[in-house]
Amino acid sequence: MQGFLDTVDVYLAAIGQTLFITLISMVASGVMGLAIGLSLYATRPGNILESRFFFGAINLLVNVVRPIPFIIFLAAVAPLTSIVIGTTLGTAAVTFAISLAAAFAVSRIVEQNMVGVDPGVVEAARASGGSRLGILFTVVVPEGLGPLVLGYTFIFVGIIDMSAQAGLVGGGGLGNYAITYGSQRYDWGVVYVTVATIIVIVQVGQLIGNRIARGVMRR
Amino acid sequence: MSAIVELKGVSKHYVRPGAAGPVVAVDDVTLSVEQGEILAVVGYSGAGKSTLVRLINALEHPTSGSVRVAGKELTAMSERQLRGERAKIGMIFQRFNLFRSRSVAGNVEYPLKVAGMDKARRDARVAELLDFVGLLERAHAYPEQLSGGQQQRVGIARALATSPPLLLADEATSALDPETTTEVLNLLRRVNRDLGVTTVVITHEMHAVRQIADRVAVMENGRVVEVGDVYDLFASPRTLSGQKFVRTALHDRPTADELVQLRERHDGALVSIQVTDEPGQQRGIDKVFAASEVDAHLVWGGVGEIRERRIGSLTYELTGDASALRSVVAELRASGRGAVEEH
Repeated sequence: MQGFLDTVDVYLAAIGQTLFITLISMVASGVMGLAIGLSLYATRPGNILESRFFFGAINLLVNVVRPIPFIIFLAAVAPLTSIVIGTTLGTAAVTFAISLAAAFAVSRIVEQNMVGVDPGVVEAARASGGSRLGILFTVVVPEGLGPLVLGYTFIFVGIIDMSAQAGLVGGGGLGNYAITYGSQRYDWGVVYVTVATIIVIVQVGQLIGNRIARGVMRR
Repeated sequence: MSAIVELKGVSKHYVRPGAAGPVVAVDDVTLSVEQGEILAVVGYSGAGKSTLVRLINALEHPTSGSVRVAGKELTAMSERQLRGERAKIGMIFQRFNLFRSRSVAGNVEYPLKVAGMDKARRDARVAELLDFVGLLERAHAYPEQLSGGQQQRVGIARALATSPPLLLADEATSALDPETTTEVLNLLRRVNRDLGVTTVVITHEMHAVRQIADRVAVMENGRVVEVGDVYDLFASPRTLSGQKFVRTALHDRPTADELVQLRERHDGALVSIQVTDEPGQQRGIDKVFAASEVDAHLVWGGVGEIRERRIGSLTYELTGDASALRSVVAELRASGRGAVEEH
């Protein structure tokens, strides 16, 4: 445990970095994912903005990006990261890559939950004279919101996971801390403290997500 | 009376991937809905009635033909124009299709928001509508907290929010128990009588038709095979489909199986006589029997009312010699008061 006590300041800073990466990535991937997911839902055959071309193109993009293991995605997206962030190393660069990767995962969750919305409800809104875009935002999104929040909470765990991997490229955070001060020095105390910390963060995140979902679904 | 809805030669084909040819949901239908009436469209599932009703509010676009609502041709309109027309046509559904994320008041308010009404007027209108359907005290409840009948009443309030002159009801009572069905049908009748809303009711339940319809259209394989006054349909259905539907609500004649059982217990000839609302019909029948040498014995029957007019039939066992029987049946037929069927 001495190793941990000696590096408490690094540990605390790492928690801050992890929370920073996670928070920014959650918001950024949430916004991007919502946009991509809603486009997928709306352009789906038979839906309100049906378009074979757009649905096919977006669907292909998501399918191509999604299965790439994050550590490889991180390397593959480096040129883009360099253009947008100015560097491929450090917390900001890692946050960018995570946001992008998570956005594609979020988009699928958004699409799945929107597809789950009762088409009869959409029909009722159309019969009331609602416009296509109006129905998308005032009916489809609120109707699918409860399960969507649960799915989004699931993404939160994935982002914590990615943030730890990103420690390898100097992204900072708890992953970085566990590798540099823990496993590389054979200091298992540091490793297990980090593991426990991540478990606590994930649990708290899950708890908040469940609360919000329950609030939205009123159950 | 003038027509609020006029369908002329309307067909709707769907292209289904994998199917050999296009699926014909609606096939060359010409039908009008008169101002102020309740028209029931009956048919088995797959007969095309749900598609037909969706052609009226342009949720579906016909492959060919003309759809006119309140004098306006819908097939020539852009999506934007159609939205305006849809707002003037209310619709209720079998599964209610309420917004689960909105309260009862929120559901009723939705079409008013779409129509751009200001908040104060919306609130007043929502209260008025909920009062009309008897759910004012449940305004802040959510759909899943309500019973099926209550949910459909919210559906009706939502459909009437913008005061449409036309209401479409797609199997609106099919998911409800008999008691709740009657309650909802009574409400629809009140909407029609008190508010003057012309109503098209899609259903496969003849009991519902009997309770509220003024006229009936029978659909089969995408075609309207029979249209007419509800009493006339029940009294003398012209098509096999019509007959089958009438029998489901008017169990006044023995079925083939029941006839077999009747014959086991009764040796005489079995004759069914239709009962109509013609004055003195019953007395006429009694007179024919009294004057004959035939012994008439009532073995089966059912008489009820449709639109306050008597309808049904009575089945007699007739015993006597063959020539007397023949002359009695001939006399009953000659009296011309309702059809006579020898079993």
